[in-house]
Amino acid sequence: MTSTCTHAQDDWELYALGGLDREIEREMSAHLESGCEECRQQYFEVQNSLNALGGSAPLVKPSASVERKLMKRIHADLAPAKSASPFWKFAPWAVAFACLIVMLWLGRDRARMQSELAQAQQQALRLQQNQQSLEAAEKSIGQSTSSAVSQPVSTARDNSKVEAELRTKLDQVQQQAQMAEAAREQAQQQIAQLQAQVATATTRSATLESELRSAEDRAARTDSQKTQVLAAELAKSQAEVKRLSTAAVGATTNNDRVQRLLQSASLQQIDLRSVDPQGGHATARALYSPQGGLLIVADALPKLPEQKCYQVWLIKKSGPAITSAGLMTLQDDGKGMLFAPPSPELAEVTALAITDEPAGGSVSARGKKLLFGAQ
Amino acid sequence: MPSPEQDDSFLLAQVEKRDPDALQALYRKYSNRVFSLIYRIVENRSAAEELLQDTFYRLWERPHFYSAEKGTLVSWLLTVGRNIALDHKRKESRRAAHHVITPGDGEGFDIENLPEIGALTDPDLSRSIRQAMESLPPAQKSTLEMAYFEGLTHQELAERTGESLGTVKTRIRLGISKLREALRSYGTALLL
Repeated sequence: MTSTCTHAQDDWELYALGGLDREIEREMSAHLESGCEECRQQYFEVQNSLNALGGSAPLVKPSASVERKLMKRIHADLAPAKSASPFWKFAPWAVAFACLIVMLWLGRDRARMQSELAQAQQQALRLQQNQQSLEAAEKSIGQSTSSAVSQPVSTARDNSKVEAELRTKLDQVQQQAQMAEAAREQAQQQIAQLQAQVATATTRSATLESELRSAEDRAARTDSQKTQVLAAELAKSQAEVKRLSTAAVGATTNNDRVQRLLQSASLQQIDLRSVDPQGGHATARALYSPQGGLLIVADALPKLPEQKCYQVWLIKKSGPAITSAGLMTLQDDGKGMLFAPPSPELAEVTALAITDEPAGGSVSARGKKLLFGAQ
Repeated sequence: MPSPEQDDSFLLAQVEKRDPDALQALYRKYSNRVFSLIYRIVENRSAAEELLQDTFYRLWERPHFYSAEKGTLVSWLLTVGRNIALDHKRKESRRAAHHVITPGDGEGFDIENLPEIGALTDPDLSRSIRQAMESLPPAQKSTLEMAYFEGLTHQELAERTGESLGTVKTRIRLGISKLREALRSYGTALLL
């Protein structure tokens, strides 16, 4: 089928491999996104074939810890940061709860006092009404007495009886009026006392509300300070983890390099012996290949003065005949090791030598040849 | 928790809803395959494990970056894993670029930390995929492997092999085309 798209002949293979120049890659990406079905189909077929190539990699399983770390990372994403101490987490809630209890108690107390006040006011009102009715009664009795006095006296005996009755009634009314007055005064005092108590309770409530707000502010500040401290500790731990990871990567890289060397093709070995009294009984073994690099391990190397170091030299078939492989690090127990990365010149090596050179090494071998070995 | 046999599209929809169990199911389904590819590229177990984590975390962070139009989910995961591994490898290469044999630039390390050397084993290769690879002419196979596992551009491939750009492109094109045909003839469903 003839292609209708001008991009059909593009390098979809190299595009899928990521092996094209960025500008061309961008152009082809834009073309795919434009929805050209023909080119998309071509690209997906290439992608599938490349994934089969990926499938040719030897099957290796990751450690179980990877899944654990991944899920921990994901769960950390889902949950907000928590404070380390449960106390600080719940402290604001505890304070708020305590203040709520206090406010409810105060509110109930105030409600009770207000209820008592209302009752006292009602009682005062009733007493006042009683007094008014008594005063009205007194007034009417007074009027009756004067009208009784203005009537013609039928008999002297009837009049004195009525007068005595009226006086008794008047006394009674006056006593009742006094009692009502006393009760009214008492009720008013009670009202005043209750009002004072209400005022006190209101003041106290306002004070407690203010204290509650202060406590809430303090809790929030403390929480914030605690969070800052924890954040600083976390940053410190993360820095330490990073440092240790870098060191671990370094150690693992070294191990991997050694593994690669030992499995590389055309691996050669040279044993070195001491060729100078200053070398003592030191010996060394070197393994090397162009693809794997050079690993040289020495034993019983004498301690050198501070201004000196051990340097390893490659002696080759073709020029330059002698080149440095690097400096050997010496341990206190006389052991030393050097690893040099892969290099084509290792294929030319016929012999190795270790000399003592000034600290920092030399461009060309000047020191004493202490160990030597050849193929 | 969804079972690993559930459809990828279902699991992905759950991941978009921030269901960690769905992500875990996808991890259990595809982690071995993705890890094998990453490990093949970086040749370092601890680095490969970190990068595997990053690959699946990227799916968690941005599930919307994948769409069925881009191919299967495992295909997308392998592509992301490969890209992350190649980026890492390039960074490591830049870091190690100063390692040349010069005076005063030696590397010594603790003699006690020499690893035990065991034989490399080659387990569980999919037989049909391996046979398909073996059926490629050597030049096409090695060019494809360098391009895929080392991430070399066509320019770098030309320099490495000493061939012209045109030859490199042809080898890659033909190699992929033959791989596709070989896989079809083996009846291997390109589920990848």
